[in-house]
Amino acid sequence: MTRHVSVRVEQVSKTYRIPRPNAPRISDYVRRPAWAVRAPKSQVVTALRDVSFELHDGEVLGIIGRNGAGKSTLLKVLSRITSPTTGRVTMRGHVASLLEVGTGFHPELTGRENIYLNGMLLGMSSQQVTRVFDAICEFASVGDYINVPIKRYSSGMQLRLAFSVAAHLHADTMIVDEVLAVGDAEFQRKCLGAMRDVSRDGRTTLFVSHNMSAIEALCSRVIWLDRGAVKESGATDRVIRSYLASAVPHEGAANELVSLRGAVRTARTIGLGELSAIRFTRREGAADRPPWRVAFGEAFQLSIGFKLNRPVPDLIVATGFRNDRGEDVLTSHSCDAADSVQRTHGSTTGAATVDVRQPWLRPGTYYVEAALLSGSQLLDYVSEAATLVVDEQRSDGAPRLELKKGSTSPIWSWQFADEPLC
Amino acid sequence: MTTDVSAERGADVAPRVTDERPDDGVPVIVIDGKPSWRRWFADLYVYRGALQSLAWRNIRSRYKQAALGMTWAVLQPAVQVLVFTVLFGRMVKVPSGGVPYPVFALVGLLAWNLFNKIVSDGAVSLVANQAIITKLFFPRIYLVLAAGASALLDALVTTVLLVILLSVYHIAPTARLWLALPVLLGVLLFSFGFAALLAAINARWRDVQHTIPFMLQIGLFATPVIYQNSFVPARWRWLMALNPLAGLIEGFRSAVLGIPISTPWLVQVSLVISAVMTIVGVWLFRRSEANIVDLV
Repeated sequence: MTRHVSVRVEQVSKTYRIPRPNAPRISDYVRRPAWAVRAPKSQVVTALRDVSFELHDGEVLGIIGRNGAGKSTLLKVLSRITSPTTGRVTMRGHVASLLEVGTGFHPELTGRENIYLNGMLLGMSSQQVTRVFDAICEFASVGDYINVPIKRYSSGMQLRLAFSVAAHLHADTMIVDEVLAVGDAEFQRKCLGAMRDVSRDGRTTLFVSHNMSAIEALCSRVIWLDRGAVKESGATDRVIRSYLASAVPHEGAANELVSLRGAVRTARTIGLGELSAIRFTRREGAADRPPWRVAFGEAFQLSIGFKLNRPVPDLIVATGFRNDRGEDVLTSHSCDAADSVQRTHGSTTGAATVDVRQPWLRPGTYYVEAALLSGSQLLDYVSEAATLVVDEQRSDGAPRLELKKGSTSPIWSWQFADEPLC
Repeated sequence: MTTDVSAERGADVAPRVTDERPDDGVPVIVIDGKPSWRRWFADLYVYRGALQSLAWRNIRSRYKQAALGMTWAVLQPAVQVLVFTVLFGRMVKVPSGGVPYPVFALVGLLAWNLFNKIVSDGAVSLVANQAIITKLFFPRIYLVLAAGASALLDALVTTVLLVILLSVYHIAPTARLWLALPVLLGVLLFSFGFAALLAAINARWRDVQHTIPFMLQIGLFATPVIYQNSFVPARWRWLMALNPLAGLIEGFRSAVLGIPISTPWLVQVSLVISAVMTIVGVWLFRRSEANIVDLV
């Protein structure tokens, strides 16, 4: 079997020119003569830097990276939504992109109309849509709702319909952004299955996701983008491993302590105090496992260090876990429990440790947040202090995770009795 | 679901990879920073389904969840004619060249409304469809064209109304009717060209969409829609040459109602301006198209 290069990306760069906040506006020129207005100040932001790779027929390439690493920009360039500043992309055959589910869906129109309109917008002819129409309906399982305006659909149903249209496109290359993140578990599995079928037909797929297990299950190769450039590319296992290890950014993969000195701040009160570091501690043994990686149900401790410029009243340290869909799953404040040990007043440095005894986090990747407050005033906040990976555990008595809903999976004890309640 | 992942992983090492492109008719897309006009026109053909889809979407959703539905397309020009007939036909007594005023006004309004709707919908089409253009590729000009689809449909409905009105007043078409074709084509060229131009500018500076409504309102009175060109004092008539719609509407009225054109050269100038506007509009639109998503 001979395979062709179906996608070739050659040294693609993309820069944006964004205005500085205080750049002069036209109205400034109206008020003052042109020479009196300082030249417009704009700054150049590089979203992609010399990205090159090749893809062969039937390959499924995963693209991973942190928020703002350029994943979406890359997909936009490949889908021709925006053009590269320099560099060149060559693609064989028809390309279909699914950067968002349900693009172009019109809420007032029925499911049937939307299937046609969406299919044609994505590049099918109306005859082609007719040919796959029944398959689309069946895959989406919308049933009798097909002649109802889609504004009456549940969001899950709209998603199913939209994905079905995309999955039945006859494109040689499919470009898929993080779209699976929305549906329920059963539908996600169905979509992943459909995407696998796509690659078996010899079609090429590019897939962006924060969901490492989806990437692992689907992709034959992975590219890791970091600040617009390809940091690493190659076998899925290897790249994912180094990506996750790098989530502990400063002291290296082996150290569980993460300094928060240079971390990106999204909110902060300047001058009162700041978070200094966050540390992960495993409660029991198992030292062979890397830090910031736990099995489902495994307990761990987090310590958050801080430095104050002067003593503040009601000091509160908080942490939280946000999943790869961006949902805040759990948040905990140092003042939550009555038996929490309060800190001694007066000192300006310290650390707070929280015992995460029953982490009901479902398997997946979580961003660990850290915050420092004085009463209700936020002193410092780091939204991506560290990344925690919760692995699935398939031992005896493992919770039947695939049957459960919700973003956490609590393990509560139940008691049985013989007589029915009525 | 229980796919053998390892088999798939192994697959990218085993087969021989070739870079030759066999002549199997598979199209090759090249993306770089400087797209050519040839590719631009080729895309218009390849993505023709998108135009159909967008146009159909506009038409279908237009009168959804309106109790009167398509009746609105009849009611709007009908009410306009009624108001203008009372105001200008009866009260101000604007001369209408011997034609009953309602017919006179409706003919002018048909062409004016076509222009009005194409421009007002087309100019905002890029901004209004931001959600689509940031997620999907197709020739962006199709948004402007599709925005005109419902304007064309409305014009068609108005034509039916006009035919009814003409037969009520026993006005038969004359040999001049053929002139309606080039004149309407001129209206379409000018409207779409102008809309494309405004859409491209509006993507960058939203000032355009704030200007359009009152610009069009002034335009209705600055154009011989509800009065004749000869109503304008002779020494100011040259000003009308700057507004291609003046000549086009004058020509259209002459074609449908058989009345003579007061200034024939005006129609010819208007047709030329319309063609130029199309070229300028499309050229400017395409120039800003490549990175329109980054600006919009």
